Amino acid sequence: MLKPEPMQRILVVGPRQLLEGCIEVLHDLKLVHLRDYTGEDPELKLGKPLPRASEMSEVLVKLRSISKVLGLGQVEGMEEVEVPPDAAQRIRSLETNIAEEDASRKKVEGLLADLGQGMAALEPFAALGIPLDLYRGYTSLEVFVGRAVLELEGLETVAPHMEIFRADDVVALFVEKSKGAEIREFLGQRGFSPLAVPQGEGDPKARLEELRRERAKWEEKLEEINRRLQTLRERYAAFILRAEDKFAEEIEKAEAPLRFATTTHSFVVEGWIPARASEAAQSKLEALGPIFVSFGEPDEHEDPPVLLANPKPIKPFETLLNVYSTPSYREIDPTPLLALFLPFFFGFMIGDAGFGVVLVLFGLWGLRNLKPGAFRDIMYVAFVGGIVATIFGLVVFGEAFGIAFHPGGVPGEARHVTWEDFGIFVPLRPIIEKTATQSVTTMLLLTIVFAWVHLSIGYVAGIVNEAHHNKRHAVAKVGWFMVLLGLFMTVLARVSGNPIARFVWTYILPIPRSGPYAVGFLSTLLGFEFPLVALVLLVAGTGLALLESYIAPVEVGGLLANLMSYARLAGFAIGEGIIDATVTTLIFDNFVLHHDILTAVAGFALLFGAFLIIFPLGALGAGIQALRLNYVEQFLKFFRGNGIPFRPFGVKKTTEA
Amino acid sequence: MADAGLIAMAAGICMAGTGIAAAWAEKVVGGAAVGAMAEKPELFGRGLVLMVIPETIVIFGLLIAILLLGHIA
Repeated sequence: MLKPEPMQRILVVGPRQLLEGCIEVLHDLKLVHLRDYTGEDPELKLGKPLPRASEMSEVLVKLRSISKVLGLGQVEGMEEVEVPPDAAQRIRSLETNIAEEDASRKKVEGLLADLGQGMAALEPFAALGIPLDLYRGYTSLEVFVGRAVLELEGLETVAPHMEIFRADDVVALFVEKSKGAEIREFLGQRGFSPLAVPQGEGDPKARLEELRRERAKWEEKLEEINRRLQTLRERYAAFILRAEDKFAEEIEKAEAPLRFATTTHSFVVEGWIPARASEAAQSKLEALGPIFVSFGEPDEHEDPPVLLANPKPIKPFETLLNVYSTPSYREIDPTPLLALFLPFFFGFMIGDAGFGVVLVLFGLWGLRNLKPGAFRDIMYVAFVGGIVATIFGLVVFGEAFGIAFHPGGVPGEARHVTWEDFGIFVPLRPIIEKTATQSVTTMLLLTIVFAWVHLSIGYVAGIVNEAHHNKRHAVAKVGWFMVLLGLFMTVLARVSGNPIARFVWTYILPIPRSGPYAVGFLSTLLGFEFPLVALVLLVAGTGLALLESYIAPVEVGGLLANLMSYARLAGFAIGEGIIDATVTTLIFDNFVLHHDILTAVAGFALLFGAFLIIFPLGALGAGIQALRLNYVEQFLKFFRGNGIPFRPFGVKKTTEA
Repeated sequence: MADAGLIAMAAGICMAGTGIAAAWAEKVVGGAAVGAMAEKPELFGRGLVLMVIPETIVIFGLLIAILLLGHIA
């Protein structure tokens, strides 16, 4: 915890004939992060892939084309299948078979598309019912066929001698050739869209019927092909997917020498290994024969890959940390801090026992049903956040599903529905009534206390990080820590009458701050007793911070902005609380309490719908805000990131979320 | 108090102004972040961080509005 797994440099040198065995061992170990050799030494050449690599790549390409044709990849619940030694041969013949089926499927699909087009062109003519050969071949007549959306009023005046056929909106018009141009213009103005007369002769209905029969025949054929492919899919899906994995793995092994340095008779492998595993690796490699294995500690300028080592309950938070950045090898791993503060802030903002329980159940569902991965990790975070929200809802804010346990004790506040209205008496009194106007100051002050704790921890982590790195910067961080304390005291002095401020002054910062310990002129200027300690901290802290940068005095304003940024916690908690209270009160007063049963059912449906909108949006918002306070406000105080994630040889690359 | 209406309006303008400002800033940052993510999906985390930075503007507005409203009572 707090530090990544210690790494050691591993160097393996051996004769060429042991290369394959060595690759096998390294691959099975799944603990060595290879350092790619880039050919920097003229004596050592890049290795060549094992001879079987090209054949395997060819088979893998065939496999991927098969699984594309069969639409594999989303197949769930596959049973484990052994890949037989003659797999390559079987895959080749399977591929020929499937490629053939695929080609005929494509051909039939093309034919069907053509048929469909031909039928679409024939349909309007079938409706008119005139034999196709009668549309052409006239010397004195011009024929217009098309769709007329508007009425063709006044057509007779343009062409007194004409014959017109209609079926729905399809119109066939036979007119004298001399009137052709006029008619064309007339039709053009009325949105007439001409249709091309299909080739062929005879009754269009009969032809359409013929095409229909043909289409049915081909459709049957297509179905047959699809059935055959489906059979192949059912029979081979497991084998193909398993073989894909297997061949990808074999290719990784066969191409590994490309990452090694070689001479004519020997090879050199360099990489990183967790220190705890080096002994096991050494004995396994040396068992192969005359192989030289050596280990070394990373030196100052090296950046070993980072394998975070957190206990299981906080491991899922690593996913959220990696979204931001992987810590570098030599700095504090902030996962435990994230695991502590993220659910705390989230729970504070939700602060409702009912929604908390819903989140817990939702998280549990995800943990049971999702495969390990980023989504499952996020479900776990929701689960922990839900527990904290439930505790806040029960103990601090006293509400469940947006309904307070008891009526508010403050006169003049708007009335809300409470659990007591339903005859449920919860034996817990809220510590803070978050929807009451007078609680706003308390809530804001509480967030300032959270901010101070959160940011102070950030600075302490910064001091530890910089202590190994740059002493001057470490001292500057101490300065910032002091400035933060000074700012915190200033805010507290401003509202010293508030119970939370009193609590902090009494139990956390019991220092004299009034009378001779206050700064006279500042107290007069600001209108409250300004503690001398705060002034000293601010001035001395800023002085130390100057060691880091010359603009430190300006950045004090930035730190104040950071402190105020935590007000979002209160803003969100109060906002959510008031929306929930309003919605529940409106619905219960107007639909449920003292109403008949049908109205009450409608009311509950409405309430459910309202919660369905409010709650997920609230949870998403609270999650992002809580994450932001960690990412932006705290991490920027100490976290550099940009570490190289530990990706051992032999472990499949997982795609990032 | 005669000024109560003015104070309330000032608080309202505070919220509206900072809200619009935050939205504007997020629009710019969000568009650029999505553009960057299209090229490098692993920038999601950085994008999210940059995206939520301007939200602080509206928090300042909220604080000032609360302070203003405190003068009515």
